[in-house]
Amino acid sequence: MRKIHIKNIIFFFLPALSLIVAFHFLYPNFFARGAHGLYGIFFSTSSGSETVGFFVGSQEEESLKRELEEARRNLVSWDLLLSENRELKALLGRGEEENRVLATVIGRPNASPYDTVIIDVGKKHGVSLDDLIVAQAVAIGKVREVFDKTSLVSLFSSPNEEVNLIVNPRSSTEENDENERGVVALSAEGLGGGSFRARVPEGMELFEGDLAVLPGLQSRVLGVLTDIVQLPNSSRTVLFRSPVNMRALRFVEVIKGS
Amino acid sequence: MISRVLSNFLLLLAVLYLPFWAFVILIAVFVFLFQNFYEAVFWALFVDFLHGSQTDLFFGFRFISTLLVIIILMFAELFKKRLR
Repeated sequence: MRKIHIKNIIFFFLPALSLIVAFHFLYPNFFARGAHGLYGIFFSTSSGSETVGFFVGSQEEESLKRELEEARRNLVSWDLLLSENRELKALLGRGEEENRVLATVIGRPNASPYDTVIIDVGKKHGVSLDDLIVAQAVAIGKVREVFDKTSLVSLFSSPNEEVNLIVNPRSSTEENDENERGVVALSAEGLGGGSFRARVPEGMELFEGDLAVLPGLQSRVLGVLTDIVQLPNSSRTVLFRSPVNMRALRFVEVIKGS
Repeated sequence: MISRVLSNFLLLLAVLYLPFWAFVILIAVFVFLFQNFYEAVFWALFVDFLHGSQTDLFFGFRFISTLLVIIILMFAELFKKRLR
């Protein structure tokens, strides 16, 4: 019995472990290109599916309908404001001249422990390292590795990932009507699943619903403030959540050269 | 033999379409069902090569799935010997 066990360790586990260590330090991307090529064969087109809940209660349904109505009302002025914003930027010589590529998500964050996303565009489509990835105008991550036809995207909300953001007070909040608040620059840490956490120094006023955006002219939304936590003998911690569900991602846009 | 080939095909589907936890559960089941199911390491390597990135997560180590599967294999072999 013991002989078999020792033999197993010597002939399989030790070489396997040393192989991993060797790959990690010497050739971290050695087989990644081949694996992505193979993956592209299975996912040449989108295969995403949307889950529809069958057991939504009538009360919840009513509340969802109300939310939808409210969102529609808010959207009425959206197009007008957007075109006005673009015109003003163009007048001031800072017009949007972004080069975007539409991409299909072929590997979702829950498929591995790394919280990464695989998209179906790569070097052949002009994608390069550190290009920004947006989904429905929400910034979600950056290109971490580029292959011929696919790219690996790391999410801003991945655990231990740090991102600088600016908190814009929402103009519609009641608190803002009473007291004019300025923008707040913070450094947030990813928590996974589209959530972020940031410590806020004393004296800074933030409220639920405030928008976190990436620093820059385009003000890309990163998340919405969902919770403020005050622990004893500790500074305040605020939690942000991305409006995009990372597990249900189907299409994203790559902003080239960002 | 056929069941082993089928289980490997199932693992390929798990890598492509299922969440990671389902892949780990399948690996654990097959490791107990089959003798020396070392192919599991190959599938774990495939996951790592596809999704792994040298990010701050796991201190930049990009072979975490492979390591996990090797640990499962080691414990399974020990456990099976005790059961016999």
